Amino acid sequence: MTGDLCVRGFYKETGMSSEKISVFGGTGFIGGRFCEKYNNNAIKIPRDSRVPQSKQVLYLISTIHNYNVFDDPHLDINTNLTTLIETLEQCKGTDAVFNFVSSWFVYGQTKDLPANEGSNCNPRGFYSITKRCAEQLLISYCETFNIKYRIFRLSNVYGVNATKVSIKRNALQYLANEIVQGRDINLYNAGSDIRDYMHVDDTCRAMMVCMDSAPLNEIINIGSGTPQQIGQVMNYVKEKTKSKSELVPVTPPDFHKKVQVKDMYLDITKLKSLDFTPEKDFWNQIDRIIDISKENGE
Amino acid sequence: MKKVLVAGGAGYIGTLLSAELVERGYDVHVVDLLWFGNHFNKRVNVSERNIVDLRPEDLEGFDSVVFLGGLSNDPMAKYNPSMNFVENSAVPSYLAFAAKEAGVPRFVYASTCSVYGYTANKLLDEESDSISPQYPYGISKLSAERSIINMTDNKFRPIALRKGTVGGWSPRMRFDLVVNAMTKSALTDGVITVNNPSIWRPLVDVRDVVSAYVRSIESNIELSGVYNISEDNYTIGRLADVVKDTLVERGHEVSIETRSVQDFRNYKVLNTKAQMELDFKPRFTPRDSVLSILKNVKNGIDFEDKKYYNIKMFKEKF
Repeated sequence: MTGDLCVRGFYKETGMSSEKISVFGGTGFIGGRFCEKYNNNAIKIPRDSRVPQSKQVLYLISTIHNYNVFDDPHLDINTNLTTLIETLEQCKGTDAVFNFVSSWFVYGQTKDLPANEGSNCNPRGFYSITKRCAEQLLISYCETFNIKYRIFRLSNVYGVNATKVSIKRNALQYLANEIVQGRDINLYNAGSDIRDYMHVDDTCRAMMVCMDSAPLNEIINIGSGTPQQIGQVMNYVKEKTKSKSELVPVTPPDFHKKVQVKDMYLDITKLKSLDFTPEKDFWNQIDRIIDISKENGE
Repeated sequence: MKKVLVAGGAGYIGTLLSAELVERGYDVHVVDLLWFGNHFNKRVNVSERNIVDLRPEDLEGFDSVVFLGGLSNDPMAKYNPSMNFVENSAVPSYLAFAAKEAGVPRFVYASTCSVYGYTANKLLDEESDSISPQYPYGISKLSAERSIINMTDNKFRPIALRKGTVGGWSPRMRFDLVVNAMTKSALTDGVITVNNPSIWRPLVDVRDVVSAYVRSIESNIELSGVYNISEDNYTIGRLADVVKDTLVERGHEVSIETRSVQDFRNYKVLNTKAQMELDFKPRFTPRDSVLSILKNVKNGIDFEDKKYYNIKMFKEKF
């Protein structure tokens, strides 16, 4: 393994780090951006490899939504659990620090908002359940085999990702783009649902700060900590672009109601204690998404 | 005729439960990979199939789905952590999800008192908030239990049975459970080894477990939630005395060898909720469990056959 000569807190102090990080899942939206942003640090591990090349491991391999379950439940199980354990197997007997990227979905429906790392987890939907299983698997495996770990529970990550947007993936950009193009959008619960949005660049930097200086063997929420109402954001896009699209309030389908969470935002006290503050202003970034949607057209 | 699907139903409990349900006039379907063979008569429909391959349409028309699959103890969970969380957390959660989607009203999940972990001498009920399993097996079982109970709504009424350590005879026999292991040890070596006489375990005979599942399947559909299923709580020391006394009465020579091995699994539970709500009334004690084994073991039985020990079979397969 390489790149172990790193001083804790060096990145936090200087914004620089020479530490190598093996990134599993480096081709997805977040992993890809991380590798791009920290290309001097990131070692992108090939898709079929489970072997880390450095002490620090950033593990992002995951399904990303609750809709696979009835097409192929094996997909969530294999991706979120089996591949994880295969990778952990390769960390046994090494000094690896396994940084596992989880999701706010593990909290499920809760009135205990903002959700903190000690909040009860009641995941809904099979993806969410397997993510929570994966966290528990990671903890008990790491405790059994003495592997150091951290768990990052990410909020909704947004940013400009021109190629892969849909209602299930980068939904904020997808919906904003629909409005910019003048198409009507459906809003569940009249847009009153609350989410915690964090720009992908801030998310990547937060993960870097955590890998640099967060305590080991802990769960850390990574989000903005700011509740945003989806309807309010979409109304902003509509007004800003003078779009004629209609924001149509619709009742969520049954399956959506079963697996989705109405409101969620994260308590980021732990993250803040590492002197992390987001750099990207949410509304400026929405403006940027609008500009890019205009440029890209259809 | 009411239809019941028993997933993982070819094991120690499922073999007896499925037969009992058939006797009661149910149309019983078992889905199981048959790691331990098929001990059913022809009246049980057995399908050798992975539970995750079941789709909601496969579950349509069933009145109840019972989940008895997964890894069954701490050694198996420790041996294969991945399979533990897949089979004990993800798979039952998936099956409940699919059953709910298929409109099955009753889902009964095989949970365990292992979810209580180490609780010193506190007597725990289902509402106790101090649950903290320390071992992967208990963690994985609690994870699934919470996922499944979390799916409860007006039409989907899951019940989770947190069973104490089960004992007694089954056609698919196990000698890796404490009452059965003590009995086997006494019969083969004349000695019961007690690693730690002071730790507590809730115990329950397998026939009472079968009754608990039947009560759950037949209970008012409005009932839902978590129930402790045990006959009583015993220290391992007292249990050894019970096993010894029962066998000595039957003419066996048995002694007890006491050691001092630390064990972080120590729990005792209240079964009042199951008694009050499910009308679960345990009829058998550990003494009855021992007698059922004595009655059924055949002369010349090879107690060391790996088929009686889940971890041995499991290691051979994986």
